[in-house]
This record gives sequence, C-alpha cells and structure tokens, in this order.
Amino acid sequence: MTSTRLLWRIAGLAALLSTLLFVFGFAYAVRDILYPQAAGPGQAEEAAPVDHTKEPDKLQIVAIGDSLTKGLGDTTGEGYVGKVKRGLEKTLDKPVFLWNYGVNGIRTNELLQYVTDPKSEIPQSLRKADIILITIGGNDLFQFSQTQKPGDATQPALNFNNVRKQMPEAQERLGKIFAAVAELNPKASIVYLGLYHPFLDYDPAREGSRLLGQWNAKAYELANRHPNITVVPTYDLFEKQLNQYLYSDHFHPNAEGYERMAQRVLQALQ
Amino acid sequence: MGSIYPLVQNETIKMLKKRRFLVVLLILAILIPMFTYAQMKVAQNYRKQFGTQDWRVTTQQQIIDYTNRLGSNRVPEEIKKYIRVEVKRLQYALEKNVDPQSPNGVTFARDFMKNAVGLFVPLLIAVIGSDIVSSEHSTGTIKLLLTRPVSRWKVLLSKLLTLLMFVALILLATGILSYLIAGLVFGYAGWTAPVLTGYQIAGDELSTANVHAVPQWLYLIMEFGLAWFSCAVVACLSLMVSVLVRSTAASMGIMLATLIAGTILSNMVSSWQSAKYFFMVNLETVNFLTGQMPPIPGVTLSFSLAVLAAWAVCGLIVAFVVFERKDILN
Repeated sequence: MTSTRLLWRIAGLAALLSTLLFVFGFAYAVRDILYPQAAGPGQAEEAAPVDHTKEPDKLQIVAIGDSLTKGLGDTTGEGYVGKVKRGLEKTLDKPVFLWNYGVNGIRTNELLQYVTDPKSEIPQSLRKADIILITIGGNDLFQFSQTQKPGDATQPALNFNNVRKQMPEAQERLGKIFAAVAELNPKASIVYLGLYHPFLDYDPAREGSRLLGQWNAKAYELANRHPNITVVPTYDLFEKQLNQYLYSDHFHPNAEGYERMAQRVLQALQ
Repeated sequence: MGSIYPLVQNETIKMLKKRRFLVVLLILAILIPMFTYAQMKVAQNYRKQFGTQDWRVTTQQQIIDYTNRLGSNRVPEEIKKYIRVEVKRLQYALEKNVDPQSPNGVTFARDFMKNAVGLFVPLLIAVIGSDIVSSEHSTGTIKLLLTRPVSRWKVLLSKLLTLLMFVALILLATGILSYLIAGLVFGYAGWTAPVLTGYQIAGDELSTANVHAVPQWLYLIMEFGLAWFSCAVVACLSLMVSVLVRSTAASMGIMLATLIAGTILSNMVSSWQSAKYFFMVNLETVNFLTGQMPPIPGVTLSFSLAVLAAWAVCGLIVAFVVFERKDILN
C-alpha cells in the first residue's frame, strides 16, 4: 500500500509540475506568435568561426551553373559533374567530394547573383574548392527554346535575332562571373565548358553556329584574363552525331553526351 | 472540491495499475531509438556525400535542391508554395548564421515532438484515454463506482483530470526519453543554442520582419506547450468517445480512425476549405513557431486554437450530459 501511495505522489507531482510548465510554455508561445517582437540589436548571431583551411587529404569539387551542371537529361542522374567526380576518384587515391549547386534554367544574371551573394553559402563553398566547374550561357542564348519548340516540325524557324541582341550583355556578365570566381579562389582549377549547338539540324544556314563561335571565342578571351580558368570546348562533340548524344528534349545531352564532356574535362584537369 | 482529490488519486492508481501507461512508455522507448538511428544514418550519409558536416553547406545544398523543384513543371503549385516558404526560411537561417538543425539531443527532442504532435502522440493519448470510461463498462465496475455517494459529474471530472495528468506525463516522458536516447548519439549539449522563431506567413509569403532568436530550452518549452494544448483537446474528445461507446476496442478504434483520417485530410485540405473546421487538421499548431505553411492557406494560430477549443468544449459537454443521464444496464 505504501508503494502505491508513493507512486501516486510521484506521478501526481510530476504531472502537476509538468502541466504548469506546459501551460506556461503554451501561453508564452501564443503571446510570442500573436505579438512577435522583432529582434533587438545584437540578437543576430555573429558568424561562427568556421575553419576555412582545407583538409589536405581530400579533393573538393564545387559545380555551379545551369541544367548541364545539374545533369538534366542523364538518366543515371550524374551529369558530366558526377562523371568527372567518378573519373577523378579512379585516378586519385584520395576521397573526392562534390557540392553541386546547379540550378535548372538559370542564366548568367542569376549565376552572377549566386556567386556574389554574401548571404548565401556558395561563395564560401567556392573558396574551399580545389576544382570549380562552370556551365552557363545556354539559357541566355537559347531562351526561345522554352516557348518555341524547334523540335516541332511545323515551326522549324529559329529566330537568331534575339540571340544576337542578348549576347553582348550575357558576355559581359560571363566576364563578371569569371572575375568573381577567380577572385574568390585564385588557387582552384576553374573549368568553363563552352556551348554546343543543340539545334544544328534545324539550322542549315549555320546562323547559330556563327553566333556560338562568337560566344565561345569571347569565353576564351575572358578566361585568359585569369590564369586559373580553362575553357573546355564542347561544340565539336555534338557536331557530327547530334542526335546520338542529345536527350529526348533535343536540348540537353544524354548520358553518352555527358560522358564525352566529362572525358574532355578530365583531360583538361590532368 | 474535497471529494475530488481522492477520486483523482483513485483513478490515477487504477491507470498506473492497468499498465497502460507502461505500454506507452515502452512504445516510446522502442520507437525513439529507431528514429535516432535513422537520423544518425542521415548525418553519416551527408558526411559521406559532401565530405563535411558544415551545416551551411548542407543547407545551401538543400536550398538548391528546392530551387530546382520549383523550376520543374511536374511539381504541383500547392507544393511549390510550401517550398518557396521553406527556401526563404533556410536562406534566412544562412543569413543570420543560425543552424536550423544543429545535431544534439535537444534538437532531436524538438524535432521529434514537432513531427509527433500531428499523429503519434495523439495516438498514445487515445490509447490511454479511450478506455477510461468504457473499460468500467466492460469489466462491470461502473456499478461499483456509481453506487458511491459521489455525484456522477464528480466521477467523470476526476477521470478528466486524471487524463490531463497523463497527457502531461506522456509529453514529459516523450521529451525526456527522446533527449536521453538521442543524446547518447548526438550529445547532450544544445540547451542554449539559438532557434529562430517569429516567422509570419501572409498569403504565400514568409515575412521575416519579426523573426528573433530564442534559446533552445525556451523554444522547447514553447513547443511542448503548444503540443500540450493539442493533446489536451484529444484527451477531452477521447473521454467523450469513451463515454458514448461501451466497448473499449470500439472507442479506441474510433479515435485512431479519426486521428489518422486527419493526417490524410491535411494533404487534401487545401482544395476542400471547410475541412479546416475539423480538429484533426489543426493539431499541428507547432508549425506556427517554425514558420512552415499551415496545411490550409490562411489559417492562423488563433483560428486553430479556437477550433481546437470549440471541439474540446463540445466534447466535454456531450460527455458530461450523456454520463449524467446514462442508464447503467448490463
């Protein structure tokens, strides 16, 4: 009987005290949600000391860019970035880590924002990288592909006037991206992949090819201002057998296409 | 009130002797290690994939993943609304440099309660609550109880108070067990870590104007306070069902079915507006602390609390009226 009484005392007391605590918490939470007060000065936390020194026994890849970085069209999900990582793992005997910040559909202006935004973690990640891989520009030039499907046989007309108009500004932003990334990390090997022509078979006059040639040439020129940026061409990879290396959306590479791109990058890195 | 105290004491002892509370503790003690292990695996996986445990990198990666889902045509617009709010919240955490998910025992307890308050803990309350009256019928002891010189409403009130005591005990046990068990793996620190709260959702937009940091211990008390209210409402409704239905199995079945229906409804409720008057879809008031979208756009904390309170009051009125007038036959 005494043990029962003790049990009741303990249970009753614990229940009473915790109920009081919960009622207090409830009242406090309701007040806090309904009448929130903005943080006073000094409430915002100072940046915690993060160790920026790289661990020597690993290789860090950071990939930024558009859907090619994300790997859209590769059914294995790797993309050229994943394949580069795998390739490096095979040849190096240290762990290779990949931070892939590729976002589908972005253009130079958005990427410029990403690499210069001090609030996001992307600039910090770029600082910690040993290898930086960049793809950008495809959506700036071929933006009409979103609305006008060139794969549609009834409307094969491609309008390159827009491309011609957009190009100078996009090139300027590409230069700014190169400068920002090279400044963030002067030690890393930075690789930029040139553009290919996904609609070559709808462009018998090769109007787009000339424009892409200008873009890629400008990319070389911009990259050469920074000693650690390499431009890897991809135009020729998709010139002869376009459909064999393109995904069914007729815009992104397929797994094979990405594999060829990755081989190029690996050769450039080694 | 003098005669209430021994009645509550009697009910509490009955409850403890029936071992049902022990079963609840056992369920917690088995399930929490499972969740801890799962969480540990997630952390290990991240480390293997990214080669770092820096929360800023994984948070940024999460933002990028969400951004990609926002760009996809295959993601429905309702889900995109949630994702947009979530992206904003994560970006804000990066900006303020406050880890939204620092791995430690306190954070685990916090997360566990947040996820458990919608279904898991209410289920445990229902297990305890739905037989509190009906079992007296099935064992025949209701006659012994009601032939005492105590008015019927006092008997039922003592049962209600006992149930509320056990609500507190279950929440306390959930908190303590999850802290102790997860602490084994993630460490016992983290009481003073800052947590961001005060997000406001206006339409589809997340406002961070009033966001402020509170220490995690205070956040935990706030969270458990909100969870306690939801659970108390479930307890009141369990009591009602227990009065209305004589079979313990049936009353438990009704409560479980209702609660589970709530989680299913939550997914569809954005299309069926009037479902917001069900208590089951309003249990997760904790979300108002974390700045997540409520299941029904436009629902506020006041609304959810009012709905819950209304259900509890109605449930209690029905329970007391029916219990007063009930014929006890066997």
